[in-house]
Amino acid sequence: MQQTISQPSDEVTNIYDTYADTLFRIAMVHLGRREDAEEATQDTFIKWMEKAPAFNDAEHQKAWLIRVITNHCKSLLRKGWRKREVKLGTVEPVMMDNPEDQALIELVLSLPVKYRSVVHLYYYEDYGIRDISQILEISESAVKMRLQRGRQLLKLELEGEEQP
Amino acid sequence: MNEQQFKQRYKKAVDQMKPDDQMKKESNRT
Repeated sequence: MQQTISQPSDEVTNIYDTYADTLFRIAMVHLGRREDAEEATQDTFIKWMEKAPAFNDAEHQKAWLIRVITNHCKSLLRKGWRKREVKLGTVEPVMMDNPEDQALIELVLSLPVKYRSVVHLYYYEDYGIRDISQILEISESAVKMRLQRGRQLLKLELEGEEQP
Repeated sequence: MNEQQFKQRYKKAVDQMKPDDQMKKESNRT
């Protein structure tokens, strides 16, 4: 008997394998809970498959996926999704292997979401000011201001000017 | 903590965040 369940194409599998971890981590930094981050990651891939946008190259594709999941997470937070979850008492904090990592992640999660997005893309994904500006579709000056404010809130000692 | 220290520690912490394999399997069935 023939298999009737459709299998994902190689392209879908490859794209998923390439970007799932990146997108999941962005969602975790925004939403702070594994189950919700996994759902947001899946929603983002579904949106990609539905819209099937054309990309110039892999970086263009990655930037699109990051923008979609960031906006999706912000939309969930704006809708009061977190308040609802807290009321239900189901929020499980992000759990790290050691207390130092735990404290650091909780510190980043305590930042207002607009600073969190920029801090993560700058310090984890190694994007420059111009790249972040294009990905999040905000001005370069807004990126610099958010990064500066994020650093202040994280109490980071500056070592030099960031390069775009 | 300076920027470099933050970056190293943050990357190490975030690297621990990984989706479940089960999620990948489910997505591959989508």
